[in-house]
Amino acid sequence: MTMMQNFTRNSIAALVCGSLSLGAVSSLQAQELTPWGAVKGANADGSIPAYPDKGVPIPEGHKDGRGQYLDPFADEKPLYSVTAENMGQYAEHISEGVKGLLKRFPTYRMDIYPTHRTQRYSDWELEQVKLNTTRSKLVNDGEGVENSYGPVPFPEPKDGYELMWNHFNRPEATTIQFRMPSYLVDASGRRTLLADLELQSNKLTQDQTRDSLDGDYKQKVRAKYLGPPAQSGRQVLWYYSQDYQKADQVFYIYTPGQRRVRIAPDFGYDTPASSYGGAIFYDEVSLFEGRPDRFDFKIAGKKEVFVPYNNNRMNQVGLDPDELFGKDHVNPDYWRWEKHRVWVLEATLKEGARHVYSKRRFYIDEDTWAMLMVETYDHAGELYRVGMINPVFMYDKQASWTNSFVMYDLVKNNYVMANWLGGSKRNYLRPSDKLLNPNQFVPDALRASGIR
Amino acid sequence: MKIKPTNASLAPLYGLPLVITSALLSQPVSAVEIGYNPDWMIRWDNTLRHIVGVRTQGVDDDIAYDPRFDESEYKFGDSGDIVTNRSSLLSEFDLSYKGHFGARVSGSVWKDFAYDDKVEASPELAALGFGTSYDNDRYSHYTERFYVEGAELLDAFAFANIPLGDRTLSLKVGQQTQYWGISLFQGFHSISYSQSPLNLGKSLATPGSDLSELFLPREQVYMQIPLTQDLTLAAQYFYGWDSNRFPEGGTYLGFIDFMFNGPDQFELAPGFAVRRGRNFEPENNNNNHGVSLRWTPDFLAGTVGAYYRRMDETQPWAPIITLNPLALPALVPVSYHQAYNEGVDLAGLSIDKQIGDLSVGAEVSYRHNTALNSAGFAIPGTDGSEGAMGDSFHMVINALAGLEPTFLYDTGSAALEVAWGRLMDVTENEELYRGEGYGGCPEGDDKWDGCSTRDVINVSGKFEPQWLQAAPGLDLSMPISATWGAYGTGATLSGGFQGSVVYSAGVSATLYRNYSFTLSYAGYEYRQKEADATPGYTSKGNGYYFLNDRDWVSLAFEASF
Repeated sequence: MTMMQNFTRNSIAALVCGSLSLGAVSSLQAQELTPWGAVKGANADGSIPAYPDKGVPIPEGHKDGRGQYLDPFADEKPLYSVTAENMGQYAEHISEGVKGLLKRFPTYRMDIYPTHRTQRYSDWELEQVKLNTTRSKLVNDGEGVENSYGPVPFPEPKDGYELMWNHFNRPEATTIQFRMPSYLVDASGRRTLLADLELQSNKLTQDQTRDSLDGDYKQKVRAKYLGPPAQSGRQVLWYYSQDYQKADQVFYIYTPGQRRVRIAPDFGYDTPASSYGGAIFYDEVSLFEGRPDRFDFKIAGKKEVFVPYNNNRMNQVGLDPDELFGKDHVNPDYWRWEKHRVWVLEATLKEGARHVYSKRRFYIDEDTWAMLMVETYDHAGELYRVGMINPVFMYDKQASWTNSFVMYDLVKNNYVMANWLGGSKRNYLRPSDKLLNPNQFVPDALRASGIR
Repeated sequence: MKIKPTNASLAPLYGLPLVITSALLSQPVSAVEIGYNPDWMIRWDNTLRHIVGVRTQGVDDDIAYDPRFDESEYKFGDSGDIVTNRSSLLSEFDLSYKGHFGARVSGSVWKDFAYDDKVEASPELAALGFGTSYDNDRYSHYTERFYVEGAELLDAFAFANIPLGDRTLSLKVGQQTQYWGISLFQGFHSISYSQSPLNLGKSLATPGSDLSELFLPREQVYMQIPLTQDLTLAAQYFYGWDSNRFPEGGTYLGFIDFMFNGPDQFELAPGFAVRRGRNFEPENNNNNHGVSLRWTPDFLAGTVGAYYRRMDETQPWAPIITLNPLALPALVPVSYHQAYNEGVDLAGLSIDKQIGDLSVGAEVSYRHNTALNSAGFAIPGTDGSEGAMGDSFHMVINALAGLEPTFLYDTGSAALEVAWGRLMDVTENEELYRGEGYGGCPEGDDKWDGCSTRDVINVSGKFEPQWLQAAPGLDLSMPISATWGAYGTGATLSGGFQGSVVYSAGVSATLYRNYSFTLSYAGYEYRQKEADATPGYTSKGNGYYFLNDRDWVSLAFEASF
């Protein structure tokens, strides 16, 4: 593919950068990288293939405009399964969090499927990534980036903050519109609807009509609750910052009955998110979100790990939620795992800072730069929560959508499933390259569209 | 403790466990959404609520010996009496085509099993020959409707979002609530003053209610359009008017036995009753309108608003007793009524911004020719269509905070609001102004008797810690709220009363995010003058001191489906 060819690396430069950025991970040195910084080639035993020249075709039966994604790999069978019994055999490829789940729940299992590196970068994205290599700058103690635009500010991240900003500014669709429910499965195994959300997101760093960010915010999102009935009609609007020291995240709420929009007080860090039944903290939405200032972020190498990938299988219309959401965990029959190279990012609580977690470890995919898994530890060093993304591969955009997640709380024994596309045919997921009207992302627009 | 069997039917409660169990057996549903056509969003949501309330104090003779208060005192006159046992259903229906146009209708029905239509009175006053405020000692239809059983339509409007280039004009026509400014609790000092009628009965029954829960919809045309990306123009024109919904005479939390829209007469002395006359109310279409401009630039991380409103007030000068001009100089009352002020101009500014971790709001407003606290009689020879009027300045500042986790609670929220009102000038009917040193304030009276001061300051707060998933599926919280009259008696209507504290404290449990149980205590403390109470005497105090012995405890259940 041409976009692959127009960027070839000088192997000496790779060697130098590699030794600087990756430290002890010598196996990665001197490997040819893709423009966005992934290892281009296959791994030693071929279980991770080389980055392919072609994308995955749109499967037969796909209907445009429905907002549903079939499983492009529906015919594939698992290569093998990892269980509590045989986990020792695969130990080096299993995250500590999943090890914890395997040990805790005898019914937990990982079905490992063939690896498909499905994420594609558009020409526009590749151009921005290339420009980013020289223009992006980390500022304000790693709480912000400057001069970066498009995806992947730091294709060769030198420290934990650069790596994290690659996740924040990963190659997502310019806009996403979806409707999806979220559930809490409590300790008794009962499933409660937390939210039935209709959401629109404008990722401003991905606006292809521009080449730099206008203002302090990189993303604006609005959402409306269609359920549960007690929440119905509530709307929220929030802005994600490109620099948390310069402009903190803002959050507006439209309250039904009140027909008025107010800025919300700041909830953050380890305050339990009541909208998720307290099953996650405010800084755990999509595994990590918000100000990073209470933790030290360090790159802990790059590894080949089993991660959730191309998980369309679990997001099909007609799937019975009773069948999918088991008492302790999501039914493993429906979860697709693949082996990918991931960056390991470790966050350690700063001296004197307060948080329920002493440590959190993130696994960030080399191709999508999406955080795919997390495990967190309390102050006694015990595993606290294990989270994972439920990635949907949007073959029409050749990109993964990585804002659906499951978080297992091993202390309270419950879990949340946030933003599940499967089940009801009312649900949809619609990406687009064209920005939605920015007029719709101001507080008064919530009021205009509020009926309740 | 004595429970009156007639008033205290527990029968409807027996059905409750059944409702709950059957509801809990089914998995939660995503409300009632009708049809699968993605272009049409059709929803029908219902909320069932049942509340049982019990009086916690007996009758205080200092209040009940005053013939203006005994009927509300004796409706449920003993500590332990069930004062409400009410089922209500709120039904909401929304229809929307691709968000382009649609309609919304909501309504509510209720029945209170604690209430019959019989008016109770103090035995001591009855012995003296005092009659009650209602004909035949039975509630009027009006009172019966709102306190025994009834129904009402709430929202009823159509909407359209009309694209004009890259802008969208939003239009809503019909009965709806749209209110402005940032105030959370202090509606009488806010930019939203009289923008819609307030349900004051509900405000008393659930202290700490947000303003949003108290506004009643009003007929209007509402439009909104972005002028630029961060500047929005909104305007409303009203073609309907309604007064606030008051606590009616002879009901448990009633203010004054012969007031407001329910009672038939005022029994001034044994055997001498004055009939309730016709109210002076504004026309439905009386040039009531408003314009607002709201600016939300990114750099501000907040919103600045400017407002102008022309309004008729929803709170009356009350009561106004008309006197027989022929009997002068003797004061012989002929009738009494409520009169509502018309044609007030209000201009205001607001800001809403995150400061630190707090959401801070502030607003100022200026009202020209607004109704002032007035003496309760008409200028002899006039029809009593007006009380005193003046210009006033109001400021409301509030802050909302999210609670960070501590060893005591998981999270929660807190809010604090301070309101300041100042009388700038008395513009009309100065002789009626019931302000310290003015003609409407009886000789020797001051703010402790309810005469207004130039300034008034009220403080409201709410604190609600939460415990999430305290047991599987169960979230707990402890809502505590209070409003305190910190200084002065308000010069504008219901502007606040120094020394008063209205509070509530309770525990709320929400099961599966859909079934909530709230146990709550509500208390009222207003400054009352000490007196040697004898049956038939006239008590004095500042504010709603007649509620001082009507604290009550309630248990409410709510389910949405």
